[in-house]
Amino acid sequence: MIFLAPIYLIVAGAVAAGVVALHFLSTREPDTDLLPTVRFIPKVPVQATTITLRFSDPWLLVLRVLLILLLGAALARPLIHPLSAPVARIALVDVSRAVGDGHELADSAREYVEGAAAVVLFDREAREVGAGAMDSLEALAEGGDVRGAKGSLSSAMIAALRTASRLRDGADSLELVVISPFAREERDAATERIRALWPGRIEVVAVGGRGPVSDRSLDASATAAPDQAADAVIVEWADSTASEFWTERESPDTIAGVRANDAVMVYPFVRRWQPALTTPSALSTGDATARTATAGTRVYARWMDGEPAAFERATAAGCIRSVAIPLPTQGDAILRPAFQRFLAGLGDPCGEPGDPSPLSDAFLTAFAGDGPLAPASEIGRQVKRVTPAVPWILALALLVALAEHWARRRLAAGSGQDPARGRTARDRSGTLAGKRNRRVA
Amino acid sequence: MNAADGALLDAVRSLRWPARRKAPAGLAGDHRSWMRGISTEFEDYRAYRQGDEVSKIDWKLLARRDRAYIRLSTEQTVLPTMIVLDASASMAFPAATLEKWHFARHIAIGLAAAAHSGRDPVGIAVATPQPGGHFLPARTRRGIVHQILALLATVDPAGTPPLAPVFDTVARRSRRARIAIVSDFLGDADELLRLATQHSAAGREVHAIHTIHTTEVSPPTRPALVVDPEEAQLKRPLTDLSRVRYLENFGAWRERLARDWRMAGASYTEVVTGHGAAQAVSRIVRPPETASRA
Repeated sequence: MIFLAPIYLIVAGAVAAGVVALHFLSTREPDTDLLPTVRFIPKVPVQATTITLRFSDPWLLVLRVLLILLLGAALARPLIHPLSAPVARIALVDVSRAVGDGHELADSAREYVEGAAAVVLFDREAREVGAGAMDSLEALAEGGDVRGAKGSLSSAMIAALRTASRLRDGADSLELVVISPFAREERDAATERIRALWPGRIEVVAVGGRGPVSDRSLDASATAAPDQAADAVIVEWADSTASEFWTERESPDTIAGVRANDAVMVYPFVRRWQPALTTPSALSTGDATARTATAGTRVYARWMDGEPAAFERATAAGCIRSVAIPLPTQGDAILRPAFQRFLAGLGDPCGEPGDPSPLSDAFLTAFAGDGPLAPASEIGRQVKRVTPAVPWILALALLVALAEHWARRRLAAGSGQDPARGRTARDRSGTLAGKRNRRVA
Repeated sequence: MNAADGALLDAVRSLRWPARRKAPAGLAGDHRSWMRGISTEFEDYRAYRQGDEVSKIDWKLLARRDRAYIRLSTEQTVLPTMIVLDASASMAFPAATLEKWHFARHIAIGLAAAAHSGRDPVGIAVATPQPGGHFLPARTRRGIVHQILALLATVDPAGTPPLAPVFDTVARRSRRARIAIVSDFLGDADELLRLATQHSAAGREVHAIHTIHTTEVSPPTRPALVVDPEEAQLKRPLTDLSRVRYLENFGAWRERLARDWRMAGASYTEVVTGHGAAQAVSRIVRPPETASRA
């Protein structure tokens, strides 16, 4: 067991030591003796604090110390993990559109996926799959739908780091394997920097890609994948053309920016349109698992909050780009480079731009790196506010608190008995009655 | 009756309790009456007045003095004695031995035995929490002392029964009796003193026997928290410093109590446990010129 915040345990130990010390102080009234002429003794406070050589109320002390230590342990966030293995493998498998043959991908990934501590499938986004990762790969290969969105090595590496922080406590070293065609379109400006965060070598397994753009054949069916080039690009604006993609908002709002491919436009846009309810939610959320239902349509641009701002739907002749971005008509914002790139990009060929040709060997060598596997100690630990053991510890602390309360009440009830209780045969109910005129010194 | 009671009765067998004042006229007894009668004990001569019995004229004196005088002699009468005994919780001290209570009980029995030895009727009234308390009217029968013994054996001191009403009841029911109060006077002492002053001024003989335990006179020196047996909320720490103040306060109170009772016309005797009940009874019944404060 390790503690994510051991300082709380140290503080709890100090507090418990203080409680132990306090139990050596006795502030209760001492045992009483009877004396009929008490009234002649001067009136002074009857309690005194003394230091005794042995602590009072041992069971109460035990319960209190236990309660404090349990609370400290809960705040310290203990982490119980199994015995660490020497090496834990993380397999990143590329399932983006850059992959040429799904069966080849599944075959190449098999030896790495089987026995891996974690398997992450990635394209534009990365997601960890649990048991049955090979089944998922083979199903994707059989369905011919391995080629989905554009892949992103940056997303894959971030997922690898996140997974590694979860696995670090159960292994001495972490092995990272990337099975991908390593297409150029999967590299972006942040890829090298994110790669630098991984503190060890990476095993690079290159599989066949789809090849350059010129090798691709055009598919003019209505359900053609949106990445196929087409001749005619039609742009329709939501403000001026009724579109199945958009419904008017009840109350327009303002948002600071929008991104379309590599154009990021920052401007106080007033959003009047929102994706229609008929728009598949997969498009709104980018969920690739529902891709089969949305073949032919992709999100072309997104607002800063992730909501789609433009859609591109493939047609027989090309594609239609439906845009709900109200470009500024006043001022010089429209002249900014980002706005100009966006406007120029509206006429680009249909489909997500990208270069499926493989990255250079130099890049792959640098990406793989050399040296040992990544030590687990150099991977940042995942921040967990509540570890699995905390609720149990708090439940136990609650039981101990109840026991302490019961013990304390029982102790107080016991110390409040009549000091002359030994004389049980006599009437103890005497109270001042009748004519009494006590003389008090 | 236990061995201690038997020893006490043996020790006080020869004691008599003479009246300290002239008793009202009544049945013939050992005490001098206010009345002057025809007993053989000569007291005085008085000049003959018209109406006196001629048979009382002392002829020899007439022959010597040429004037007629009649002979007066002292009337002897009985003096009923009632003992009022305090059975409050403060008398039950210490809790383990009840030494103070047994000592007071022996004082009462000893006084009853001394009064009974002088052929005086004797009775007892015990102030207890039970309604009506315990009451035995004054009697001269042979077994009255044993009756008192048996009665006191059934009494457990407890509670805070006021003593003044018991004294008042006894005084009203026994108009001629002398009353001996055996108590520690930690209860309704002021009201009791007021009633005693009243009755003493009316000619009744009143005795106050202040019963004290040795621990009350000299408490233990170890620090302790002491509590009043009649009022559990009254707790005071007994330390070296407070012990000194306690002795001063307690002593001053005893002196004031003795002074007040004597000024009221009553006889005040302080008896402390450990000095023997028989000796204490002997001091109480002794004539005033030989009595001394404890």
